[in-house]
Amino acid sequence: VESRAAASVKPPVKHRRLRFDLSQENMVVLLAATLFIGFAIALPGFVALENLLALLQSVAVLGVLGIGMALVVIGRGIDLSSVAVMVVSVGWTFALFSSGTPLEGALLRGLALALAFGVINGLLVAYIEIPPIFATLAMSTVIAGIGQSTLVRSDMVYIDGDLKYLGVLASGRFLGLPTSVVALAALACIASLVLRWSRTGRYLYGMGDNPAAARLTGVPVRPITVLIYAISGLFAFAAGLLMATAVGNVNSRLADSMMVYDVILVVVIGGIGLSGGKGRIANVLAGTLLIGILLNGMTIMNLSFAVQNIIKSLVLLAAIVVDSLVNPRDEQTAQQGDI
Amino acid sequence: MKFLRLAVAALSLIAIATVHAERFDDGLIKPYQAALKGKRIGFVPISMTIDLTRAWYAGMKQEADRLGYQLIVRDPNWKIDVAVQAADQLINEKPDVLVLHSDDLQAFNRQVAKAHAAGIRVIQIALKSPTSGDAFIGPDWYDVGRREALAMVNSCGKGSGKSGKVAIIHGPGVSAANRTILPGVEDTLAQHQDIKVVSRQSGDWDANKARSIAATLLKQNPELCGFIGLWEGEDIGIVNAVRQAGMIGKVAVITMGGGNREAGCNQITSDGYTAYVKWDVRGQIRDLNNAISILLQTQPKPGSAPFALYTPATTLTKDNLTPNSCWTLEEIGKTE
Repeated sequence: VESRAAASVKPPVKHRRLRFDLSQENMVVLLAATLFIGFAIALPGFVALENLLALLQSVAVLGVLGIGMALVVIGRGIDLSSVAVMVVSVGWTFALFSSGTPLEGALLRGLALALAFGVINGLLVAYIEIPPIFATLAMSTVIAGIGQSTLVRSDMVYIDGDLKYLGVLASGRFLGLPTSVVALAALACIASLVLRWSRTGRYLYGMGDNPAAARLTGVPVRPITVLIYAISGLFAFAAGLLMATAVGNVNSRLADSMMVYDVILVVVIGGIGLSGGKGRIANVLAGTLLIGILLNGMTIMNLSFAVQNIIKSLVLLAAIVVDSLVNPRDEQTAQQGDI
Repeated sequence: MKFLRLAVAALSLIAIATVHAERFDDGLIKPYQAALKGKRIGFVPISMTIDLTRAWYAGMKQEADRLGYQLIVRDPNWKIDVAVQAADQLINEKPDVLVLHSDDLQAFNRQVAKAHAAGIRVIQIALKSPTSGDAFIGPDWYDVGRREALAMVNSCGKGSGKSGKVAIIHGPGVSAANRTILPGVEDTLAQHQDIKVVSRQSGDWDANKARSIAATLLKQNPELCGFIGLWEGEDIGIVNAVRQAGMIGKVAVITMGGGNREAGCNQITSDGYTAYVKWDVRGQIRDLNNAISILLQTQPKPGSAPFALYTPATTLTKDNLTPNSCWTLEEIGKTE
């Protein structure tokens, strides 16, 4: 069963290697490299090591959220609630911490909350069979509402108190790299290994490629769907910790902001098809890097916020156009409610 | 007979006692109490999740409970269209006074006129719409900007021996702060040739975005002497960028806010903010309550005699900080 599911997923390797592969991932890497070289020549100070590290650090949060999103998208889902999960679970953690709960207790509760939201998302999609885009959109509002009405009453949760080891995440360095960048790399490695080598990972590609076929061949589609949304919740929690410790507060208004589109942006731009079954974690990293370079360069160029937004949105639009050309919808398996 | 005499004596004693129990009337206390008792005050904030609105609400509620009037709050949760609907709805319900809070200059412009037409007096807090209500309570934003700029001149100007290069991290282009505070900053800095603004960026009122921008600018301009921000909630991100770059004490961060202890004073104590222009919310609470009281007592024709109570701004630094410089919501009172 496993091998059949895997075989249906993995494109023939030879075919890919024979011609010059103009896949979206390669185009993004190429584009990122072009931008990088352009900025390096045009903008003094861009190429300095410290600036590049700052660049990576600013997109680490987006990258971690992107990895969580990528896992869901590969399984032909989408998690529009990831930013809300991040904000509410981490906001609650630090609200508890600031009001005197020991750090470990606060972290555990926040983690459990993120996990619970993820599991509910998964149950709605897997067992009640609501299309993921609607299930997670509705959940996003529910989560933000629960957060605002009971868990995180204030727009700004300030981190008040000694963060101990967690403070290392904010300003610490590991082998000369900012800890948040190391965390992103580590999470990317884990996700990548799971996708590539574990049975669940192979199943996920099968489910994304053709859910009905995957089920017929015996893939436990429903439990894996729940699992993957739960993992998405965990990544959201991790991203939130990175963000909160770096910034010094949790902005609970992000829960109903447009940030989730930035997350989709790094996933789609990297070439993970929204129709599922395709893509690797490297795609997310490529997409994250491109956005990081773009934002950093635009900041150095002192472009106004509105112009930056226009450029970012045009890049997203271009990425979606390319996505729909490179990864056309599979008419045989497409369902109503798919993206 | 003895009994009757005793009874008369007792009755007259009671009569005297009641006369004495009746409080001294200074001529205003009774009309004052009568003017306030049983009245209805409507309040439409931007959102009840902001420390400022929760503090104003807590302060108004305490006074309402004490004097026996009712405070009705409608929370639009940051949505301007919902806020306008809430104001319209309240106007239909005919409260005695309507308190409006907005972060948009135009949002309530028509509602003010509408309320006046319906015979309702309007108090605007923090930001005034072009049409004046009956009272405005809030900072003179231009002066807040001026004070921030002067604090920057103090930290980075000629006398400081520093580069004089500064960055401004403001709100989104359409935000009111960019039209009210920013000109105060820019005009004042323009008068000081020793200060050079090397970058102007929008932090989009988001601390995370402000942090990334500040981190990039710090790397890009090693000589940068300071940042001016327009809101404490966003500028905590700048502080953390400066801290992560190991530049605390070397790079000035100047911001403004209403004096919440966590957001303001604690960040001054920990060397995050070099200067913090404070317009004290506690003073605004008193102004709000007084404006409500004055309008209810004097009953002017709605819109006929608008007045303003501008909140005095002070520049807080580590040197003039006192334990009482800031407040917490717990100190102001429970919000429910």
